Amino acid sequence: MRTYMADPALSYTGLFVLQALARGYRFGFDIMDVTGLPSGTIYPALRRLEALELVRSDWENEERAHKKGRPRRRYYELTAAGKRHLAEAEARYRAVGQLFTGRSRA
Amino acid sequence: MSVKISRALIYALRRLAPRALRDRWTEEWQAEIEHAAEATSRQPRSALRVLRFAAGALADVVSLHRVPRTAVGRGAPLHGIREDFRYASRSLAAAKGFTTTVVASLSIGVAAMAGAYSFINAGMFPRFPGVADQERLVEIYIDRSTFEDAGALRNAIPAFTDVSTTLPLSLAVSDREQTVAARGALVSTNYFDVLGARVAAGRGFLPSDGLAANAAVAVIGHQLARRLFGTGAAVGQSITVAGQPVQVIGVAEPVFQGTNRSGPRWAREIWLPAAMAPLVAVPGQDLNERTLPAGQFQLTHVARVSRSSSIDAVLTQASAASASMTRDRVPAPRRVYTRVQPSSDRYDAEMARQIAAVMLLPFLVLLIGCINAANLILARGTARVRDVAVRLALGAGRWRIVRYLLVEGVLLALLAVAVTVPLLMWVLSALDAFVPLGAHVDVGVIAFATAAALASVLLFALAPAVRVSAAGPGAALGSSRAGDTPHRSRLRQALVGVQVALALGLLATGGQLLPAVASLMAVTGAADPSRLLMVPFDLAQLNAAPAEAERFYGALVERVQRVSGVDHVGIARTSAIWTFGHGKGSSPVIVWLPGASPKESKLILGGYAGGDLIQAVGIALRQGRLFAAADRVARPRVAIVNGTAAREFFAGAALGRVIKVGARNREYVEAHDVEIVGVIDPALEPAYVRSSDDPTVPAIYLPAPLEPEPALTLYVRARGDATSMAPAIREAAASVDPRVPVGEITTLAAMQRERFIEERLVAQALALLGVLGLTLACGGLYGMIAFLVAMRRREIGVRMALGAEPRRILRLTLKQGMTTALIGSGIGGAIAIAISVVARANMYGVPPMDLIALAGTAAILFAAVLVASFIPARNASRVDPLVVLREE
Repeated sequence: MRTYMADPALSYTGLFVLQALARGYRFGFDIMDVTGLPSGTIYPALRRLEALELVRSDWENEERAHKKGRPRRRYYELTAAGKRHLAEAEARYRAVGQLFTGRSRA
Repeated sequence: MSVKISRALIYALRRLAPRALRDRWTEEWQAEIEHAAEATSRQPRSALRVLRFAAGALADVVSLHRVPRTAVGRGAPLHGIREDFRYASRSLAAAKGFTTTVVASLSIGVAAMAGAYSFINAGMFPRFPGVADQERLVEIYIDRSTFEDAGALRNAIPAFTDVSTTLPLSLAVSDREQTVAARGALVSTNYFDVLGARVAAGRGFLPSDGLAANAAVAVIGHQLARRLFGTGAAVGQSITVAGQPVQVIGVAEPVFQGTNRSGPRWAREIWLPAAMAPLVAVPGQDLNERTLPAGQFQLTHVARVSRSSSIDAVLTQASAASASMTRDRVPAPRRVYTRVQPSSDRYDAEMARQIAAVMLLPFLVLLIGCINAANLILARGTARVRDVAVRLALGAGRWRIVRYLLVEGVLLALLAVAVTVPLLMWVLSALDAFVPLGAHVDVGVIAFATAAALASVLLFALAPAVRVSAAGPGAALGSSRAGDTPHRSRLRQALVGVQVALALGLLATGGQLLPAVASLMAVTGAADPSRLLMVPFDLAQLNAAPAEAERFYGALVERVQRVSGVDHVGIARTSAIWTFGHGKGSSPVIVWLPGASPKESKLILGGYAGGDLIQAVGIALRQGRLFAAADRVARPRVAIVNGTAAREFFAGAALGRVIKVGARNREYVEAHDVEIVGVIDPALEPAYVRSSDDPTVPAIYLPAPLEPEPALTLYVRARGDATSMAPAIREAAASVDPRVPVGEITTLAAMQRERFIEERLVAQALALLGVLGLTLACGGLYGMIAFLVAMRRREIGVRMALGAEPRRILRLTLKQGMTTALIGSGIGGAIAIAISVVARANMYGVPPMDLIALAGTAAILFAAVLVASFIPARNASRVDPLVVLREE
């Protein structure tokens, strides 16, 4: 069951989105702003990450939104699995990074 | 401006989003655009940035069609079940009234089942605690057996790995300060090894303990060790057993109670090597001749069967071997009696049938509780049709809905178990203080309760779950009130009918069994049983010689006679008047009627009646006279019989007739002639009620014992309060001989209560179950019918708006409730009658169905149905139709 969950192939986009969420950016626009990726890339990535249960979304308190006179916002955050994946990916990219620094010195 | 364009874009794209996600998608993007506009307001080219951001919605709306289909584990049947549990616990916590009622209903049913199970577990499937691998043990009873037979059996049957032997005895045990009567057993030295029973402190018996010179050792039970030595060490202490000095070498494991009879009441407390027999058992008497209730064997051989052999084959071999071993031991006319059975099965199919009959009632209570729960779940489901429809519309499969409702059911069941188990533990431990039946909550009982609760909830939550999920998404979203048309309430109506049927069946059955149990505690025939004290003594516990015993009892009667407040004192065997269920063989006299041949002996209840026994017991003399001092000679020449014997043997004219009497196991040539000089009223023996309509048996009493009687009971008739005289009697006995342990002093009334305590408990449990069932059923019926009527409020409103009178509305709803109740009670009556037929076939003393009680129960249920239909109907018919019609 759910074998596709075991090792979802994360695109760079996905990784960037995870990283942005880890840094505390919680809304689609903010993530776009900080990653510099277009919203047409960010949103589908968020949907996919949510489907993979690396990310979960929740809705802002309705009362609060109402007070501010705007629709309630949907915010995103990392799940435990998302955090784990991000950590693994980070380690992997750091190793790859060392590979590159080593070569540039030589 | 850019915000407006962006919004328009979102609205345009909205139609492309999947229907189920459309609203949320729109809301999210609206909020994001607002956010983007705000965040970029201070930046250059902010309008363009907002538009560029909004353009991403196109890619997003396309991705919505792709991603959710592959996502969220569709197809995996258990995917997301954790969320189901979380959501279910939240929603159950929110609906406190519902949860409490369902859990209460279920708990009562589960408690009834589990309680009954724990009693059966404790009392009816006997096991010997602390004995290893009991199913590999075989018990062998042989008439006139000896300890030596164990070796012969082992040699005869290769499948026996070893054979041990035990002889139960009652013994006087004393340390320096106190003397107590203890149930004990003489055992072969391999006894503990064969049983695989562990010794908690010290050691068990060694083969060398079997030698007479080393035999003055004992293993004592945990309880006895506590009684004698408190928390101090028992091993190594010297005690006196039946007047013999004995050293304690070991203390058995606390759970170990021996193997003579299971149950805490018959627990053995001290074990001695068989070599002690000549010292602690009555000298000069064959071990098998000791007075024990008939049908109970004295020596039991317990054999362990090797793992490779089949028990059935071994049983056959052992029967044959024991029969051949004993063929020439018994004089010709008597039958050789041997019995071989596995230790693990002591109760036969008869008992199993009775258990099934008794378990039926708690099962009915459980069913009623379950139906209550099912109905509540159904009602809640109906109220949640919209919720379900929304979930279906959002793309939840039907299985997900059913699964969620089942998860709720499982949570309710677990809650019910969590409530039941501590409650049951408390109730059983409280009960145990009164009646040590040993019923307790163990893993088996908890497992049983859990299984019962889960099974019932799954069974009863499934129908509502399937039913609720069957409503399509349109049903609830389209019409504001699903489920208010009459045909939709048919399931609930059926439940009402079933509940009436079950409650009726339960109550009628309980009502029918109660008198059967009550008759067991019937009259005794004695004048005021609360003023008759019975004080048992057993000089065999002290290993006293017959002459010594005779002297003691003579002095005792004389001494107690002088205690103030005592009217009459008599002495006889414990079961000479009433056998308390042991049967006439427990105190027999062998009688040859006039003209009977030596072979035509009869075994009749009775025996030695010393002192003023008849007056003390309070039985009236009908004809002739009582015993006089001149009758008290060693070989009795006169006798008194009871009315039943006079009627059965002499057609009423018993006075002056001469019969021959003898002790058990004595031959015709040793019998004496006695003349019947008196006829007394028969005592009533409740136990006989079971097998015949006449609760009396023939009895014969003699002025002197026919054989040495080491164990006799003092019958003391008190003028006033009998129980307060116990200390005075104890003191009197001590002044005659301080070494003799005084048995438990009880009144006849208390003995009757004690004797039938299990039956009384059953009766009380039945009554309790009946009341529980009725309460549950009435509450459930009320809730169910009130709900049904409340569902029709709108319909009633319409009818009233069209001009129906309130009275007609009332009649309409009452008719519906009554029709259901009538059908239900018809079925219930049939169930009750069927149960009564089964019960009468399987249990003694069950009277025929009491139709008046049945009708009375039906009337109570009808009243509940009536009240339940009336109140909501009246409320509905009173409100303004416009208000009802306007209600959401």
